[in-house]
Amino acid sequence: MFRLACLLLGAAALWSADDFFETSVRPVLARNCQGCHPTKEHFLKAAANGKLIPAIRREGALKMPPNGALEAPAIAAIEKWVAQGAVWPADKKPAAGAHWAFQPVKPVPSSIDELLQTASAASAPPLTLIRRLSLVLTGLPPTEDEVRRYSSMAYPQIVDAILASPHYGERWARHWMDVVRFAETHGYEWNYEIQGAWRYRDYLIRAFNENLPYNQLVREHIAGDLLPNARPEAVTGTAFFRLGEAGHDDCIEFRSICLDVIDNQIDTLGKAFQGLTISCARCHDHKIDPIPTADYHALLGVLESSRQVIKPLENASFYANFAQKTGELKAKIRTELAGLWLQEWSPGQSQPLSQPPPDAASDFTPFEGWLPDGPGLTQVQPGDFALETEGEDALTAIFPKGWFTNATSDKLSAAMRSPLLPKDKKYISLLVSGGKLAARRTVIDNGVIGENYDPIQDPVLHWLKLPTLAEQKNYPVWIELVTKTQNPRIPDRPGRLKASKEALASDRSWFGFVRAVVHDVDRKPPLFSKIPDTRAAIQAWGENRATDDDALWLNWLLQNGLLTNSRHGSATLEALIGEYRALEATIPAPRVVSALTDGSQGVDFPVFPYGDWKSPGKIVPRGYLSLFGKLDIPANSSGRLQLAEAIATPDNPLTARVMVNRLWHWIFGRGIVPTVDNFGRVGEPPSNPALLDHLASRFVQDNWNIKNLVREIVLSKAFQSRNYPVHRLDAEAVRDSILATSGRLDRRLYGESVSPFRETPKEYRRLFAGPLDGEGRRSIYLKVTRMEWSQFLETFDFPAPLTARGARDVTNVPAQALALLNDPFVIEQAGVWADALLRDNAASPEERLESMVRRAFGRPATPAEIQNLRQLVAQLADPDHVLTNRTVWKHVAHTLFNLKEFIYIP
Amino acid sequence: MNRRRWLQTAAQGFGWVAFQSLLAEERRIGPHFPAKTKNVIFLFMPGGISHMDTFDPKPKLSELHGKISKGKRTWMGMTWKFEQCGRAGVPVSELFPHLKTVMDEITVVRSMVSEFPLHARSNIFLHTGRNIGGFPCLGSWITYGLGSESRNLPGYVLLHDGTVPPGGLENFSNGFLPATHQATSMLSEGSPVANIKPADTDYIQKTKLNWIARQDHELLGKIGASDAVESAIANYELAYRMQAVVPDVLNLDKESEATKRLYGLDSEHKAKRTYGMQCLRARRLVEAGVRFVEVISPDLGFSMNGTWDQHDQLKKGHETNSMVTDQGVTALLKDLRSRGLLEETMVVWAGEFGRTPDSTNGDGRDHHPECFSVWMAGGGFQRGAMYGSTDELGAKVAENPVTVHDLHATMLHLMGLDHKRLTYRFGGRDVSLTDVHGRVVRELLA
Repeated sequence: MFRLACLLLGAAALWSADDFFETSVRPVLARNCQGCHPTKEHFLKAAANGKLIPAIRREGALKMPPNGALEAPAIAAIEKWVAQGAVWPADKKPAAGAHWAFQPVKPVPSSIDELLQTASAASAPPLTLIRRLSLVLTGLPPTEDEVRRYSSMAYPQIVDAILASPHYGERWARHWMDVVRFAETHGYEWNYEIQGAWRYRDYLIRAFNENLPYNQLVREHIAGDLLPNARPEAVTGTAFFRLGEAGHDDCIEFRSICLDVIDNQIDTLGKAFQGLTISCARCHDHKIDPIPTADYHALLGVLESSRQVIKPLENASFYANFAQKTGELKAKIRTELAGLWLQEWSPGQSQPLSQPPPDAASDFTPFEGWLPDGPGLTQVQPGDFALETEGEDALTAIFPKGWFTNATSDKLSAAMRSPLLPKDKKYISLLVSGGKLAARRTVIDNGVIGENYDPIQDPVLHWLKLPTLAEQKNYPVWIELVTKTQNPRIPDRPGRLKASKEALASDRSWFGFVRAVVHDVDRKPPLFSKIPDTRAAIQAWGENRATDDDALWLNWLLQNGLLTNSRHGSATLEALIGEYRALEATIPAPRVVSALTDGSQGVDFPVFPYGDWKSPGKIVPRGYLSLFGKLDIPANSSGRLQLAEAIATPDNPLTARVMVNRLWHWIFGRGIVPTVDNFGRVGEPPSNPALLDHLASRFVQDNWNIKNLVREIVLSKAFQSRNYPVHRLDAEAVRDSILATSGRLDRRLYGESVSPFRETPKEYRRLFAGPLDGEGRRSIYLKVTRMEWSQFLETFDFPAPLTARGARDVTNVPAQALALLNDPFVIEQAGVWADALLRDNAASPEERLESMVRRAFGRPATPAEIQNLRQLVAQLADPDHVLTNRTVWKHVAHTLFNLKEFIYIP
Repeated sequence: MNRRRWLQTAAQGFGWVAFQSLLAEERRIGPHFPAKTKNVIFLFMPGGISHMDTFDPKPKLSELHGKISKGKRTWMGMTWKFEQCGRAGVPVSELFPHLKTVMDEITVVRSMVSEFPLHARSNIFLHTGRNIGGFPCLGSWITYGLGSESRNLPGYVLLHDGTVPPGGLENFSNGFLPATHQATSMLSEGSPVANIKPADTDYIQKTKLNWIARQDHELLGKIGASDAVESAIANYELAYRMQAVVPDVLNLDKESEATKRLYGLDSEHKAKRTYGMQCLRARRLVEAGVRFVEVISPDLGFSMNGTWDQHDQLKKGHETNSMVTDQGVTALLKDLRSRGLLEETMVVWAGEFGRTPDSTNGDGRDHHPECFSVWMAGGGFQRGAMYGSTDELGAKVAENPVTVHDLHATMLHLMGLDHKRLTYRFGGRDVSLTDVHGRVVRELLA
C-alpha cells in the first residue's frame, strides 16, 4: 500500500477513525470493490446487515471480491472499521469563501506604529539600534568603523547605509534558502551533486541586493526559462524546483522515486509562495482547505511536463569568436590532410568494405523534433570535423550533416533532447557517436537521476538501438544525449562508470547526433547506404564539398586506422594543430546550473486515487488550484508560465501576504501569522490582520519592492523599541560573528561552496572534508550537503533541507554551550583574534580590553566591566608581560565569544 | 535581574536554573500505564540481513539451488547449517555460535514485513514509521514520552563508527519534537561526543565560566527577564557537568577483566573489539539512566549501503559481520542478565529488511522487505520463543505478519506508552509514531 506520509507533512484531521478509514479502508474498497459497487451505501448496508465480513472472509456462498481474496491486512482493516461502527466520513468539501487568507487583500491606509499602537514606544539606545540593525539586516555585527560612522548619522540614514551593504543580499538570500529547502546534493543513498546549486545561491544574493521585485523573483523561480524578455540569469531561478532529495534507482521498478520528487516540488511550491499545504491533496481532497486532489494532479501534470535538466549558462554566441577562428584553422587543416591522404591512397586501391545490401528503410520511421540545448550544439555540414586537443592524433572524427558538440571544442556543453517517445513503436534507434563519457539518458517519468543511462564511447557513428518502453503506458519517456557537464549523474557514484579518475574529473566530452528512427523490427537500420570511392571522397572532402556518404566513409576509414591521423603528418599540419590547441586552451570551461526546461509537448496526468499510481483515475488537465480559476495552457508547454502568473498576480491574495509575513518574521523573530508556511485553516490566524493587509497592499502597490518594505518595518517605532524581542542569532550569524570579530572573515561575495569541516570525511557519500574555518567565508558559502551538513551550524538549529521552512526552531541545548566552550573552530578563532591583538600597540591591558569589548559588542565597556575583565586577566596569567602573552588574550577572546550578549540580538 | 535574585541563584549554583529549565522542557507525556521495562537497547543491523541464513532455514531453497527462479536469477540455497536451540528449539545458523547459548532469553520474530526495497526509505521507515525524512524516530518518541532518567546525559544515544547510513541523519532525527530529544552521537573512535573534551584545564574553564556567569547576569539586568537568555545561561552549568559525566560513563577502566573478555575486548580483530566496546558502553549508558541506546553494527567495507548489504560475497560478508557482532551482542545479554538488568532493559535486534531467496550470482542476495527476521530479549518480551513464519522459500509471510508499526507499538507498550496516545501537535494535527497503523503484538509479551 502506498503510504500516506503526505498527510502528516502538512495538516489534516486529528488522529481519528476518519484517518484510519481514509488510509486503510477506503483505498482497499476503491481498488478492489468500487469498480462494481461504486456507492458507499452498498458497503454501509452490507456492514449493517452483517454480510460484508463473511463475504470478504469468503466464509459463505458470497465470496468477495469474486476474482480473489483480499490480503489479510485489508480484511483486518475492514473488520476493524465495521467493529468501530462502519462510519463513512462525510465527503464534505471545504469552501474557500469563509477563510480569511483567501479574501482579497484590503488596503489599510495607516502605518505600522498606528496599527501596533507603538507610535510612542521608547527607543532603545542608539548603539543598541546600530547593532540590532546590522545583525538583522546583514547577519553581521557592525564593525568598529561602522559604529563610529553610524553614530553620527540620523537613524533613517543608518538604515539606508546598511540596506546598501552587499551583505544585506547574503543575509536575505540565506533566509530565502530556508524557504526553498536549499541543498547542494540529492541525499538518499549516494548524495549526488545538484549541479550548479551554488549559482542559484549567488543568483539570490544578486536578486536581493539589486532588489529584484518579488513578483519577478516568483516568476523566475517558476518559469525563468520560459519568460519573454527575461534577464539572462532568469533560468537560474528554476533551480528552485531542483533542490530536493532524489533517489537514483530505476524509475519503472520504483516509481515513487519520481513521484516523490515532484511531490516535494509541489509541497515546497505551495508552502513557499502560498502558505498552503497542497501536497496533502496527493491522496485525497484536502480535508481542511479547498484543494481537491484533482488540483494536485493538475500541478503534477505541469511538473511532469517540466524536464529536470542541467542548463548551460553560455549560449553559442559566447563562443562565436572561438568558433570562427577554429573554422579558419580547420579549413587549412582539411586542405593539408586531404593532400596527405591522396598521396597515400593510390588510384585503384581496393575498398576495405563491400557495398551494403539495399536499404530496408521502409521499416524505419523518422523520429524528429529533437530539442538542442547548449552552446556545443552546432549543426554541421557534411565533412566538418573535430580536432584532438592533446596526444598524437590530429582529428577526433569527421562528421556527416548533423549535430556535433565538439566542432569547436569538446569543452562546450550540450544536450539534445527527444520529444516524448511514441507508445506505438517498440524501438528507437539513434545514429550517434561520442567520447569521453558523454552519455545517453532515458528519462522515465521525469526522473532526475534515474539509472537508465550509458556512456557513448564510440567516435564512429553507429546506431544505438533502445527500447521505447512503450509497454509502460502511464510513463512519459524521453531521451537525452548529454555532454558530461550536462549529465546530472556526473560525478557518478563509485564504480558505476568504469573510467579513470582523470577521465571522470575532466570537463571534456562530446557527442554527435545525426538522426533517430522508431521501428518495430528488432534490428538496426543500415549504417551506410552506399560506400563511395575513397579517392573521390578524399578529393571532395578536401574541396569542402563532401556528401554525407563521403564523410561517413572517411570517418570509418579514419577510426579504423586506414587514413593517417598523426598530427606530425607534415610540418604545416603540425603547426596548424599547434595553433588550434593553443587557441582551444583559452576557451573557458562551461558554467551550468540545475534547472527546468519544457519539452515540445505537455502531458496531462490522471488522478492517482489515494496516491496509488497503479490505479490511475480520470485524466485532469494541467493547471493550478481551481480556487484561483482555470489556466489556459498551450498544448506544447508545461504550463509553468501560466502557473507563475497565477501566483505572481496581485489578484492572488496569498502571495503578497505570505511574503510580507516572512519579512516580518525575519525581522522580529515571529510572524504576524506565526505559522509562516501555513496560511490554511490549520495555520494560526494573523495576530493583527489589519497590519498584515496594510503591509501586503503597500508591497503590491510599491511594485513588490522588498527593500522598501524592509525599510518601512525597521523604520517603525516598533522595531526601534526597547521592547524589541531579544532573540538568539541564527546559526550562520553566530559563526559569522565569530569570524568577523576574530578578523578572519573573508568578506568576498559569491563563488563555489566550501565543504563544511568534518573530522572523518565520507567520500563514498560525497561528504568531503573541509577546513575548520571554512576559509573564513560566511556560512552561506558552506556547502549544504544533504545527509550531513555543517555540524557546527546544526548545533544552532540550522534546518534540515526537507521542505519550505520559513521559521526555524530556536532551541536551547547544552550542545550549544559545549560548542562555544570547546569547539576547535571557536578556539581557533580566539587564537586568530589574539594574534591580531598582539599587534595592536595597546598601551595597557585596560586599553586593549576596552577595544575588545567595543569590537565584540559595538559599545564601550563600562568601568565595572573593565575592572572585572582586568581581574580575569590577572587570574589567567602572571602580571609580567601581560600584553605580549598570546595565551591570555586567546582566553579573553574566547570568553567574550561565550557571553550571551555575543549571540543575542539586542 | 535584581541583586537578590542573583544572590539566590548564585547561592544555589546556577545549575538550579538549569534544573528548572530542563524540567520545563522535559514535560513528559507518559507513562500511560505501568511500564514493564525502563530502557531500550536497539541493535541496528543495517543493510538487510539474510533471514534464510540466520533464523529462518529453508531446506526447499537448497533443493532448488541453482535452478532458474525468474529471468536470469537462480534460487540460492542456505549457506550455513542450522541447529535447534533453547527450550523453543529456535533454529539458529552457524553464523551465531555465541548467540545460540542464550536463545532461552530471546524471542525471534520470523514474520517481519517492511514496505520498501530501498535502503534509504526502509532505514527511515524502521526508525520513524515514515518513508520520508522530517519525522521523529522511535528513540526520540520514547524520550519525549518518558523523559530521561539522567539529568546529565541525553535520553537517546547513538553508538556508531561514524558511517552515515542511507537516509542520512534523518534516521535519528527528533523531527518536530523538541531538540532535547534528538540522538546524541557517540563515536567509537576519537572524541566520542562533539566538543565534550574541555578545551581548557578545569581551573581556566571555571575561571572563565565564573566571569561569563557574572557578565551574563548583568546582561539580564539590562534587558530584563528573558527565558531564552536565562536557559542559555543555565546550559553552561549542564554543559560543564556533561564534560565530566560523559567520559566517565564511557570509560571502561572500571570494568573487570572478566567482563572485558566476555565482550571480546581481547579479540585480535579490531572491529570485533570496537563492537564489543560499543555493546559494553550500551550497558553502562542504560545503567547511568540513558533511556534509549542504539548501537549500529560497524561498516566493514563490504557494502557502502549498510553492513549486511551483500548483493555479492554473501558468504564472506555475513560471516565476517556475524563474527564481529555475535560475541558482543551475546555478552550484552549475559551481562544484563547477571546484573538483573535484563527485565528493565529491552534489547531489540533488527535490520531494515531481509534478503531475496534468489540471486543473480549464486553468492549474493538482494533486498527483500516482504519478510525478514528480527529478535527481542528482556524488557517484558517472552523468553525463548518464536513467532510467525514464512513460506517454504522465505519469500512471503505465511502467518502472523508483524509490521514495523506493530513492532513500534509493542515496544512503546512495554515502556508504558500507548502508541495511539503518544502524540505531538504538529501542522494542526496530533501526530504519532505509528500514524493510523500498529498493533501491540501481545503474543510476544511475557
